[in-house]
Amino acid sequence: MTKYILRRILMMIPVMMGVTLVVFTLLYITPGDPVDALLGDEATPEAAEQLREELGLNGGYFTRYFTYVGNLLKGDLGICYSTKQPVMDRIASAFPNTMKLAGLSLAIAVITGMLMGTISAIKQNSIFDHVAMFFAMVGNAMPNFWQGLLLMLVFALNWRLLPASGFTTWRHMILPAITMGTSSAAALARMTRSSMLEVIRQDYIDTARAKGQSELRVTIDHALKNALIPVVTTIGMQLGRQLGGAVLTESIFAVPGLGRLMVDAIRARNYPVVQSGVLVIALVFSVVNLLVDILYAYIDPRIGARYE
Amino acid sequence: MRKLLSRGIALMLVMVMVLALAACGGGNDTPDQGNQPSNNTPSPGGSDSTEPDGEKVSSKDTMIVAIDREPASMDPAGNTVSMKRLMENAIYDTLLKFDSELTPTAALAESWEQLDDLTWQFNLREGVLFHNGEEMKASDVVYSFKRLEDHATSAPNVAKLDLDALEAKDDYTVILKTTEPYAFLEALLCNQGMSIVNENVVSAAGENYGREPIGTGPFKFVSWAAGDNIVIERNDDYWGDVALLKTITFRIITEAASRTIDLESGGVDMNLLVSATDADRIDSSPDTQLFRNTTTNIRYIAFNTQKDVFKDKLVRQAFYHATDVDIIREVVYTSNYSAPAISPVGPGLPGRNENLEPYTYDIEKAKQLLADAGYPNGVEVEFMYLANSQNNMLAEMLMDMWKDAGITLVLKPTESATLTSALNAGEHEMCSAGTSFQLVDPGDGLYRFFHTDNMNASTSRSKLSNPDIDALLDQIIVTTDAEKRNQMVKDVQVLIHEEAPFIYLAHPMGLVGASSNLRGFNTVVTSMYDFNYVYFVE
Repeated sequence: MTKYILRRILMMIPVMMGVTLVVFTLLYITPGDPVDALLGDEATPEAAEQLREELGLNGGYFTRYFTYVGNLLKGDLGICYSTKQPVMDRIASAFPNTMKLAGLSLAIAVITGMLMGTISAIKQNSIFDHVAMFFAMVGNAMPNFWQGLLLMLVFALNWRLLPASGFTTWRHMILPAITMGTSSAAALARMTRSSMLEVIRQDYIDTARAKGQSELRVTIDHALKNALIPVVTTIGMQLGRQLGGAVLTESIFAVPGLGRLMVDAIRARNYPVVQSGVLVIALVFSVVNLLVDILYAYIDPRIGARYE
Repeated sequence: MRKLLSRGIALMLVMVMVLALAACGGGNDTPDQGNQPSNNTPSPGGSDSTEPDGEKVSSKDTMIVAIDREPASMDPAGNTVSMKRLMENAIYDTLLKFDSELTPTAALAESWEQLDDLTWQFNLREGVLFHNGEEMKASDVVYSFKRLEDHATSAPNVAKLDLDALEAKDDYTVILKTTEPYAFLEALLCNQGMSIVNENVVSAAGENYGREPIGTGPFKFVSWAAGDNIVIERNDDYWGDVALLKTITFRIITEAASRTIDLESGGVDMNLLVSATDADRIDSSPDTQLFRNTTTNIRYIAFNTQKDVFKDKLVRQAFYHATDVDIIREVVYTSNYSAPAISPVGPGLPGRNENLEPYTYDIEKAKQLLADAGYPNGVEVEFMYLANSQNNMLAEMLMDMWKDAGITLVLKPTESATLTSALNAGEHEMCSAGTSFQLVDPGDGLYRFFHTDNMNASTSRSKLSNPDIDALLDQIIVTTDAEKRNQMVKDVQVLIHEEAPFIYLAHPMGLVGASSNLRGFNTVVTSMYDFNYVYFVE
């Protein structure tokens, strides 16, 4: 198992290298010039040239890419074009907010999604099942942006229960976390339900009942545990979705997170910030994938045996 | 495993309960809890806490202001972004300052005189303190201006100054020379880009300076939470009128709809950028009030006069005649929140020419002009614009309107950075744009828009080059007599009007929303709002 984990960690290196190449190339071929964004309304060609020189934007594709990767290997993410701060500082201030938000919304998604999915499966075709699956469909289909504004109108404006935007106290986190968690909850509810439905028809469930075990124990110990593999996979995938969805949610709720930082950076062609932001997200995603794979081994010992 | 799972479920249930409690628990709290003023601060209105009209001054002395984007820095040498300039206006002072009539008046310079065509003497106010306690001296002024040349973003501001001749005659006297007679020197010195910084502080802070600015202004910089907020507080040692509010927090809320909801729900006290679609709502609600600000902003369509199709002014005039500007203003910029435009010089500005003959909406005339220019069968052009809902609407209206005159419009909605680069490189045939006059003075604005020297600058979207217009603009920028200059500004507008480099669509108003108990806020043409006199009533 340890060997397997080590191998997987080593495999992340080429993946990260690939990410740097793809992101760098995409930014390189995207039209638009950071210099124009930086100079604002009063740009003259002379000023643009002066600034291009300052930022080192005059080199060719390979020169710039290798400079970037070289610095990266030394642990230097570069300097933000607009604020002149180290990119590391900008990411370090934004990343924890995004992780808090993603973590909280995933928690909401896992709790409500799995609960709804499990009950729907054991009470298949009941009113609860129909209502839950209807909400799962709506939750999946509803655009983040629209849902966020709706929640804001209801909870912040009409009922004055929660602040509309910002990210200073835990009360500020509730609305954005619900906004981000809804679609994941919906996906998890559907996945849990279908996976559970498959499992509860298995013979060993009847056996468990025949042994006289309580229905709750049958559901949780025998059914849910065996239905978990696809659910855990979905949870892992959803975290990626959370990080992507953060871009919109963070803008609506004015959360100073990585998503908003990156959108602003892309708009201004602030290359160092975009490159590092994508790299961090890719890294998180890889690590989560690895964790999911490791979890498989714990949930299903047969998979664990294959890792050896 | 069984134990583990039952524990897991217990944990889940606890979390559900916590979340449920969280949702109900906050019922009695106001969203801006934690920002209430302490009771022992004196009321902002001074000892007399009742206004003449019977309103009682509130003890609330903090204000939260929503802004749309985070400034990169608060270094005056940085770029020109309005929200950045607004905060710089609170933290720094300039040598001169516009009064409400747009006349430059004394600020850090107590008095000033023009010694000859090129030389000016500024006598500084004595005893003005920077926020770190050091006194502001003439050497700081010299340093503040000289350093601007080293930054690409600010070098254009000092292009007309003879920086080698700039000197501190003594601690409180600055001698400034321009490279040629320069009519807009006083206006320039009112601009936040010419704010006075402290030499010692800037040199010591290096690249970090913009994030920990120190000025002489009515408010001191306190803190900056990246991406979230910027806090400033009252400078009790200010040389001018000391502000009534104790602290102001600028919160960065990028979405216009979120800013509106935050204002309505009391999360912020002021929204500096209300979108025209939300303005009616803010205006009519009993909890909020709307301020309409006439600015120098102008929305227009620019023809690139360097492209073959638009080289002939007849074609440009034909396009103008084919455009129903009134209906565009009504639909796209809303009649209530914009003024009709016929020249870049908006209503209320010095030198506005009221006698220009408008290009009437006349399809037949447009067709005739196109035929005269050699396009009897119509013409196809590309229209580049920033892709947003307002511009999309504009583009569709134009496409439809112009069809009747035989003009086929190819729409090119473009993302912001790509658009700016394309426009700066002059790749467009036609584009939509919006600008304000940097120095407020229309003479300077027209010079930047239409003089051949500025053809490649980002202000010149039409890349117009006309010797008669150049000659007049050259005179304008060296004429220091305001009355004479304003007459020339009127004259040059006639020439520009004839050339039709732009179709003027509207002068949109600056819209500011505030909670209904806010008082003492005044709009200004520059949009550099003064927060010194703002206070709240019960």
